[in-house]
Amino acid sequence: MDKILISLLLVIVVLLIILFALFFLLVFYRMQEVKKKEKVIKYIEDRQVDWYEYLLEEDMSLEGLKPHGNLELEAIDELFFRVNYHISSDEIKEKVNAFAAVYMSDYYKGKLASRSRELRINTLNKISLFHLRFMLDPVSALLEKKKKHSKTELLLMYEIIGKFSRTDFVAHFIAPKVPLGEFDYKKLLMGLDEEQINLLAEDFDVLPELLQLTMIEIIGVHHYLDWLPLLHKCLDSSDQEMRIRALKSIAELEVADSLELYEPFSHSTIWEERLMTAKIFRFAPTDEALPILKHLIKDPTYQVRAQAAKSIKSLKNGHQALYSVITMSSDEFAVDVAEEMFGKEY
Amino acid sequence: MNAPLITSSFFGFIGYILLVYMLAVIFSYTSMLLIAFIQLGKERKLQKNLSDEGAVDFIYTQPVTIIVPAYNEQEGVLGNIYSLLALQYPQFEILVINDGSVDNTEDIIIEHFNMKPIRKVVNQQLETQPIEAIYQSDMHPNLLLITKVNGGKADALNVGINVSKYPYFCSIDGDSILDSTSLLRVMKPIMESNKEVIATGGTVRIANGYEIQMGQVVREGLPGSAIVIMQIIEYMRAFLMGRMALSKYNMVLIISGAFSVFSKKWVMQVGGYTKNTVGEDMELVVKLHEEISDCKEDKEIVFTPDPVCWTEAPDNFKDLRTQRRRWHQGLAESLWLHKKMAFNPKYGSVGLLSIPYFLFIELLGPVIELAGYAYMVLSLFMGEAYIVFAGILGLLFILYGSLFSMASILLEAWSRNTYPAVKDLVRLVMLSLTEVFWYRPLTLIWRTEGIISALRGKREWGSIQRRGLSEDRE
Repeated sequence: MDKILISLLLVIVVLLIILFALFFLLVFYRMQEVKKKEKVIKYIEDRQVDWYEYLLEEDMSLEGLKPHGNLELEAIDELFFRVNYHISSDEIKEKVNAFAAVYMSDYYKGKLASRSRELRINTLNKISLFHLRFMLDPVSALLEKKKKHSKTELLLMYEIIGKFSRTDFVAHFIAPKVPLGEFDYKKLLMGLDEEQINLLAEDFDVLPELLQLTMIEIIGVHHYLDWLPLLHKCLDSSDQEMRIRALKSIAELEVADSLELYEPFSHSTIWEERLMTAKIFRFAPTDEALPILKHLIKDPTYQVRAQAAKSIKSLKNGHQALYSVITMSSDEFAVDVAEEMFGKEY
Repeated sequence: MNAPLITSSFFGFIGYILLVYMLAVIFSYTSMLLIAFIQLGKERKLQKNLSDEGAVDFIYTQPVTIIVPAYNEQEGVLGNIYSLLALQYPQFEILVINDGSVDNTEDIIIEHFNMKPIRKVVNQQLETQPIEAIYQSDMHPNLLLITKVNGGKADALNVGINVSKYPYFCSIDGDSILDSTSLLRVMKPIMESNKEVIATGGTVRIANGYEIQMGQVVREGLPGSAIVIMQIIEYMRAFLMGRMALSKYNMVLIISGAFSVFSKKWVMQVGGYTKNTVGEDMELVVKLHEEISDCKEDKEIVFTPDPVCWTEAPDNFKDLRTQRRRWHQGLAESLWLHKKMAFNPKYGSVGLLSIPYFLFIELLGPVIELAGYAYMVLSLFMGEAYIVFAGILGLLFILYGSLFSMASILLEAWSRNTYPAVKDLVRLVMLSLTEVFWYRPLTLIWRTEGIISALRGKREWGSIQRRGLSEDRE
């Protein structure tokens, strides 16, 4: 027993020594870190006028800002983040890219080749955020390496290629190295312009299903009216999710023609389809929309009733129509949502 | 065998049980500490603010309803609402549910945010106490105040779910405040998992002693009170060690009610928050785990270490006792309600590991530890052999009580770059070494009282005196 007690005592003493050693090490590094941060802040304070002139005024030379040493490089990197956070302008992004291409290429390439996954992710995030177009080739080269990348890294690399290359992104989006989810595709597609979306949509039928669904949604969000025929085609799909997404995007496009295509969905057995129909008809001519919306305001699903009431309110003479629901309807739920519409809403 | 010999053997036997128990506890905490260390190490250098901007775009995010149950929260509710209005999140609504407060909570909110009564149809999917009125702010249209008949926190949250219009809801305590990026970051696991994650909880930290203006932390710093500092250490240990490790294997049973996000669909499926329990937050999480297993769905409940919710900790023994009794009673009730899950392979790692862990280490731990303290005192009268035994037990208590706390502080400081400041770090470390001598025995007694309350079926909440975090309270 005594031996156990002494051994345990020893273990605790050793542990305490280790913990205190770690504590002092931590304090030492913390102080180093604080000192480094102070120097970075000092650089930014000292040189902010020069940088302001370079970034915001024309014909300013970048030579005077040439960084000396790693600390200045890190300070400039921090400055880029601050500028990006506060000001969003294509000219500034262009100047940041021009400066970094001349003086910080090795710095960013070095970080990208780091053994630490977190540092690589930080660098990829910065390339995307600061619009460092000159890093497209190193990023593409990194992607081609046989090295195993994490999903976060791959997504960021795809995002950068989509942002800085007109065509190269298509192959990566269609056949990514890891399976991507809807959120991932949304993130990628939001960075593309209309021309790039068109390029991708040319191969719509061969795209992965999740990419198709996301594209349909993006078409609505960006109001790409040219793709309305594609959305109409999707309404015939046997896939319920595809139909709902197409209806949702049509509602976002705020169109008021081809109403005969949407009307059958007001009798769908799927409440989301009825909901989207109610949303679409808020832009239709009153005489065509009212019978459908008056039918939907009595829907068994609350969300559909509420949307139908909202859509009626937004029609021409909608207030009057809504008032007639309150006074004439025998359906108490319909009356309830109609009355709510006369109150405040957001 | 004579009587003294039987007593002596029995005493020795109890000593061995206590020893084995303490070793098992130390083993599980060491494992959790290592898992947390590895997890934090992976993300330590990651600059999360770089990816915030991209995530703000509305299409990436799911709109969220923030539900704030408020009962007599006149001290802290304004700071709370200000912090919510300042959230960096593209689409959200704030529902403050005034659960029949008898102070000025309602008047303060109405006056301060220019609230006007509105008519609103409520989709009464969960049964609750009746709503008396709904107000909407003229200044912030996404801020609503719902006044209702008093029915308790779970009932208030259920009212919020009924009124909410978005697919996810976030529950926040009325006296807490959020960092501006915390909702975005706590929602990230849900978005990035492509909806495989159905609930997330963020880190809750104590803000006593901090300077807070308009719902924002403007200066961090340690408070002077030792009792509050001990709670800060306790929170670090609980969130970093316990929850991180359990979350890695989808075994989290507690995500703090002070700050958590849930999928409304799944919460509706399990009937919302359970009333008549004092630990409605844990109860909901356990119900969700049960439902996931019953439906054989591949869904997760995760803890995210980064997003921060600031809360006010009790700064006196009386309030701390009330709080700890209540927490432990909630734990006991939830485990009892879901006893069929314990050791049941149908519920996977939750049934086989998580629930037994909470039962034997978290719930019964205080009773056994208290027995250990009593054992050490009794050993003094039982002869030399037992004094050595008691010494071993005492050292294990120090290892378990104080050294783990110190390790957690170091882990927290290592994983975060700037907090705490060096002088605060020294204070935290020094105070953690005293934990086993005063703070821990006290909390053990209070937690044991919680078990007794659960056994007696008591449903008293007990009130805790709030001072409010924000300076705006004045």
